[in-house]
Amino acid sequence: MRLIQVISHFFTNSNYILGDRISIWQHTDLSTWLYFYTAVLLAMLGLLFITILYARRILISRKDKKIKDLKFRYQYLIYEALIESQAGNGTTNQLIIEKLKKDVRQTSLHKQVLVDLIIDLKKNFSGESEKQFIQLYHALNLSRFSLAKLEAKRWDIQAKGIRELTEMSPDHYETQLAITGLRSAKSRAVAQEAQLASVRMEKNPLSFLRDLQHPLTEWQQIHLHNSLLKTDRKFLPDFTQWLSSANEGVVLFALKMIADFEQQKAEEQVVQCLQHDYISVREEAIRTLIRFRASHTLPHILETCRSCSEDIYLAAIKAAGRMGNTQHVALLEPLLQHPLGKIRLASEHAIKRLKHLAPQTVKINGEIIKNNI
Amino acid sequence: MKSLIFNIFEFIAEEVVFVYVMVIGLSYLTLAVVSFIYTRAYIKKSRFTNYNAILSSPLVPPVSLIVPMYNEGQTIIDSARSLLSLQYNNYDIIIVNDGSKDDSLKKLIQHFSLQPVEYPVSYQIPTKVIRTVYKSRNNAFRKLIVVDKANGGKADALNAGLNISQNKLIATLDADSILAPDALLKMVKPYLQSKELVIATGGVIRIANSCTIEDGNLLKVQLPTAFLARFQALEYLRVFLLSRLAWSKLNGLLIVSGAFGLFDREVAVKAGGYYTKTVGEDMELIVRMRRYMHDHNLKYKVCYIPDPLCWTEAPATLSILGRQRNRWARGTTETLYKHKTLFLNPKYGLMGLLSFPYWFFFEFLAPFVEATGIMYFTVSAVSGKIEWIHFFSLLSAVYFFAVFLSILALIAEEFSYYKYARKSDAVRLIVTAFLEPFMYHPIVLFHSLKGNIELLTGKKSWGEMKRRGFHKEKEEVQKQVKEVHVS
Repeated sequence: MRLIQVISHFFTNSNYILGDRISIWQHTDLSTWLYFYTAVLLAMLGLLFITILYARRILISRKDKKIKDLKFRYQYLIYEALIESQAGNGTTNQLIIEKLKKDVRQTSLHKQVLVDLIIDLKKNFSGESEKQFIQLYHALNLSRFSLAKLEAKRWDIQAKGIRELTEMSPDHYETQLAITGLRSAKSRAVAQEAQLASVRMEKNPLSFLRDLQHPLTEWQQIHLHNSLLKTDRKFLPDFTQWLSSANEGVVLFALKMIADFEQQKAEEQVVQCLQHDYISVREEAIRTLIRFRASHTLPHILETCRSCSEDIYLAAIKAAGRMGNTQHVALLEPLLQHPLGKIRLASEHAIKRLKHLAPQTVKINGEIIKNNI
Repeated sequence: MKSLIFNIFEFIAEEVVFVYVMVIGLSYLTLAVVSFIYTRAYIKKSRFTNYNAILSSPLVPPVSLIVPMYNEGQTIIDSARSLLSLQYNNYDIIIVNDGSKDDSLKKLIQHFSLQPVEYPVSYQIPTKVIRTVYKSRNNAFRKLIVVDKANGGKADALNAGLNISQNKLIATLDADSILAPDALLKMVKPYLQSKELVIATGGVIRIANSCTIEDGNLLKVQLPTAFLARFQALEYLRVFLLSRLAWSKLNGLLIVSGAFGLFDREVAVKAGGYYTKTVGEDMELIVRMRRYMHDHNLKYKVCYIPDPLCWTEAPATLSILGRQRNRWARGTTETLYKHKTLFLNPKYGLMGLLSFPYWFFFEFLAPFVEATGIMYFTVSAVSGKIEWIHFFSLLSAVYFFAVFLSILALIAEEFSYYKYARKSDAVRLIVTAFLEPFMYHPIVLFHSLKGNIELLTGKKSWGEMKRRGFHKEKEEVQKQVKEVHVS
């Protein structure tokens, strides 16, 4: 109370007279009401969001339960159909299919649960059982359901449709036609899904690389590689056809695939890539030659890269360490006196590898060395 | 003269503060809405991402995971073991022992059968003495490199890790933080997808207090039971879900959390590595890396993944929390001061014209403006200069805005990762949102002000974060279970 009196006394007796200075916010009720209504609005919005939060939890919980129940029911029916068909009781199988058909006519949720379940089960089986799942998928007209998704406006639904069709009907002409058309879709996600699907479906799976307009990112390269790994090696294309592409990503991808699928006959074209305009291509060419253990190309690599950028030269020195032998130590020793610390260090590592130095119980010299980069 | 000063003060306190509050409120709301939209889009895309393809791919870029360690004997073995089993094909772990006084190094050597190796080091970034580099005799731990060096602080330890690493990308992680097994897979995605060079990526940091952790792995997510940790959990939700993604989309993000981040090694080294003379080395490095790219006219991005990838222990006591917030405030001020030439500098694009001024006005100045506003309006109400109804209306508006932002964060969490799935957790978080402006925010405000004042007065030390360790909670639970059985 004393403090308030002191403060009040100070304000009333100072030169600053209360009320003299008119603030547009202070001496009208407008500001008070503004704050009050803002508080009320925010409180109501807060309550609204809390209600939405709870409503969502309830809805999700119900949906999850429904999906769980449907999955359980369908799984039981599908296994029953499988067992019956393996026992040769075709009629019983047909009854179960009729039961499922009746169910999936209900809502999209029923259809989706069944599609997801059949795809999951199909992945866990092989041979005849796998084929039966595919037959079931078609018998229930679920391929129509998946195909319809390709016409959807939402990209995630389109992408889901592509995945379902790739898994369950890759050989159908209608599927291939629809998916090929999506390879140049506006949505990058859909275009990429369609490109990946092409790898599985087509005889010439990477034909789209020829006309690719946008850069082939590392992300796409990894996924394409992953899809190619599932392909029979006999049907893999000759990747050298893309080494002359103007698309940097395509050339890099081709070099990586040449290395990974050991297309040794491409060595000469890979060596030519050491002179490519793109630095990244030159580095990748060196890495590919390392994978080939093409030690006879080492002198050529070191000579070609001597006048290149620091990064290329480092890649060349690392290559020497990885695929060279003790004869190449002489090529590297002069680099221990190189003005650049990074080159000296890389050479030291490379020489150690070549000399197969075992780990020693030697402590590092603890002086701080400030290197110029 | 006195009346002029008072008039100026009153003008600042009323008009400027009012405009300031309106602008900051609108900016928070805008960032929140944008972040929410992009988070939903990210989650949708994530459902279609086949991380298994990257998991086993030989084409993924190699990553060095640098873990600075100081007196982490309690948790380092479990942390190292969980890091060795991350889902990524091509990475190594560099644990840098920054002159620990406990038995951290000894434990590592014994557990992982480490031996000193000859490891040529290029001191591209000057650091304190590196005494020994260890690698394991056991091939199962070939990914592990342990570096023993003289004490130099976290930034110095990270720089030593940068020197040791030979990989294209480096990730930094606090020794007591827990990574999600697929953290590297997700963090590497922007590098692989972007046409521009991604120089840094950050992810969501979550509070691990009260979560079930075993052998360095997060088994079950639970909302912290203690109020202090729960306030921080809510605060982290607001920060990570309601603003960072929006900044990332603008390419205006100025910070990647020191607890976990992924960086382009070459750019980090060329920018000079971590600055050892600041307590906010994480933000300072990002600003410097961005500056380096601008100065060399190179296109780049700093990205953010709205995925909860890293779980960390929040301060459990007021004193430790106070030291932490003190440090954060000083780190922000030090960084802003060090790079003051960026302020409204068009040469630095959006960083200079938007991000940096935003941080200056709405992060650095915010505690001062808030404190001024509180003091002025309280004194004005008490002295009768303004009516109490006016005061309480204003207070209510500010209070409900704070609560509203917290509720928005809860909605964002609900529609995104939904980690606190129990209904009781939702109730607790809502109650926390209502209590936070009274019980927690004043503490943070006080320590932010204190940190800045101490910086101005030249106080340097930032104290030690005393960690209870995740083992401590487990031991306590086991003790309680035992007592129940005995009784």
